[in-house]
Amino acid sequence: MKRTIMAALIIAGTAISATASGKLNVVSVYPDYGWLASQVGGDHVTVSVLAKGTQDPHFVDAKPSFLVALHKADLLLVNGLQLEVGFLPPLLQQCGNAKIQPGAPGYVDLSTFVKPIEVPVGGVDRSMGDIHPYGNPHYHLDPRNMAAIARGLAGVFAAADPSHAADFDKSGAAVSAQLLSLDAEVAHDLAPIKGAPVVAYHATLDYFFLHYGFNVVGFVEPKPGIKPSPVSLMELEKSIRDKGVKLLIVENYEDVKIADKVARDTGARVAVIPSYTGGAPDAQTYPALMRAIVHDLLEASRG
Amino acid sequence: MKSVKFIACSAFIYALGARAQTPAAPTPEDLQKQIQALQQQMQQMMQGYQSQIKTLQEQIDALKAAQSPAAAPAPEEAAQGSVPPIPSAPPSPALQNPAISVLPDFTYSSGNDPYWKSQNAFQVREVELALSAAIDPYATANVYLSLENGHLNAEEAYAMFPGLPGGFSMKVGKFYADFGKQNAMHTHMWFQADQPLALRTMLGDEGLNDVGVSVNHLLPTPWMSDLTVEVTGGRNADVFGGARSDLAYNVAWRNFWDLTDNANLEAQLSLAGGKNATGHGTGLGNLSVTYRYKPLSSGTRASFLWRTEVIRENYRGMDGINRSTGAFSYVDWQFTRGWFAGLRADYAEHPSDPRMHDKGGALTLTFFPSEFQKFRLQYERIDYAGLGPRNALVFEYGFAIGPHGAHPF
Repeated sequence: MKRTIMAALIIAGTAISATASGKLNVVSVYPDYGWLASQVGGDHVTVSVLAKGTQDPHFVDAKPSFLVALHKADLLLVNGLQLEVGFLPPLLQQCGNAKIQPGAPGYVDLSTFVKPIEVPVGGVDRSMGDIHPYGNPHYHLDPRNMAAIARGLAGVFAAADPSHAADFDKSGAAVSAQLLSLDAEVAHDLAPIKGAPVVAYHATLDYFFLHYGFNVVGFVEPKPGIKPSPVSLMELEKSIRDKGVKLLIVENYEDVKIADKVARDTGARVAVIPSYTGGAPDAQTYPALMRAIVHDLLEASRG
Repeated sequence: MKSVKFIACSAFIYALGARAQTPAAPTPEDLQKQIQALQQQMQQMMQGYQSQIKTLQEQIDALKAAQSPAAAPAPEEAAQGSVPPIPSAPPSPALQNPAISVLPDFTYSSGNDPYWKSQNAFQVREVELALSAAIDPYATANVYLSLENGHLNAEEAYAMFPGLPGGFSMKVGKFYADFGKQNAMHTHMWFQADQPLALRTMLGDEGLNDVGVSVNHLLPTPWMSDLTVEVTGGRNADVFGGARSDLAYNVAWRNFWDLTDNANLEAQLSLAGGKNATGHGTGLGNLSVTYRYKPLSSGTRASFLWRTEVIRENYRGMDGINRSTGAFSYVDWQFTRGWFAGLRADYAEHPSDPRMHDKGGALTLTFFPSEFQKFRLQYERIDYAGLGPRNALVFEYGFAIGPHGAHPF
């Protein structure tokens, strides 16, 4: 009986807060999926984004101002794989919106549309640093993943707003095709440096490196999320020299000074790249982001 | 068993024989007709089964589609070979255990400050055990047990209903009142090794923390603004404590502005009231202002926070009203990754005799090797009731194990 009353209350609440404009109210935690949602949803959705492309995606503050967007959202697009674990749960508990709670149809975990890499086998603990126990969460830098998410989003939008299902289906397919051709373009443009040994700051680009054929020799962080120590940097510099690494890739929100020092010591060149949409003036859309990364990598390898 | 089978077979053969012998020998035409009829029956049955299977398959597909909004993408490459399946065990029921975290806090203190002198030099000040899990689709539970001086208390234990009709959210159970920002902070979240003097002196060691119901709703303002209304049992040794039926109330109006991408301002006004131990009323007010600066692109290495709270207490006793005021203001500055320097100024009038007041301050240096442990050194100098300054040097160490997630901002 209690359960029935509660279910009735929840359903009533959902009905009351239904959108007045007729458009789907989509909130994306990260800007890349916000861009994707706008492309797939077109005029039938309004999209707002919580995090900025210039900030470290692991350390987004749970600002109360986010509650305003979350309160009226029909759909919440999350990256999943525990990338948001540090800030999203309290926001969801406070937002007063049953539609986007975990387990509700409006809580859309985009990682279900992709195949995660680097899923630890066996147990993980924090002696390994900030290991994500369900795999590397930075899957957005492989455009094939974004293409799969575009198709997935078309289905999600169609389920939430069946009257525009045909439009979502069409744009989902078109965006997906556009992303696959972007993928081919990126692969073509990166051909001159394919196979190059590189060092990165954090495992943000691992999907990118794997797909486009880079050979990652090591990371500036000795363990994910852990600040490098003088000893770990000495070891890194040794392997940079031993393996002839010429390129050191740093996300633009990380500590570039450390990378610069390693570069000075070893003669490698630093590419400071945006890694999320909106992360640089020339990376305001996802395709622009991918092209900006390609440009920055090619530029740095030319010296 | 064998004999049963034998009897059954014999009976079947006998029946067949009996059936074959009963009618006259059929003509070839009759046989032809019978075969055709049988064929038709077979075809009808087949069609029936096929349509049933088709319907069932459609239902399965629909269910699958409903479970995952869009079908998972097909694997990129078909497997070329095969391997024997690996052994598997039934899924562990532990998967549905609550998230469990343990957060101990240790201090070492020296000096002549009476607050710290009343505690052991080295002490496990608190071991917090945090448990959280979804109760069902409608509510989430958060339980914080605190082991202090050998006593286990439920510091907080509440269910959170995040999506009630009309956009309300509700908290039921034992919780810290939404009375300013500092009151609701657990020990391991404090910016200094101790609570500001105003909270300690005016609200007591446990702060405003009681059993009751808290309801929250966003206000339709152009900026972020929300209202929390709380009704609790009115149990607090220092400010509330009337008869069993005397409840305490608290209303908090919170406002938040993003000044830029890098800076924000939060202001909260809280008003609380209830009956005190004398049977008369206690009124409390709190104005809390917080400014935060955290550059987006280097927020993990540089940040600044300034918080000020002013608390006003009107305590009506047997011999009239005592009006007391307390305040604190602190800054916490992150100057490089993991390192924070802080300063706090304290002022608190004694609620029992507002002519007496304590004042002082604290200097802190805190190092977080990671998000999960901290080392803190604090120097504190407080003048209690004009009796001259007392000093304390405090070293604090705390860690967190388990998935203890984010706290409210």
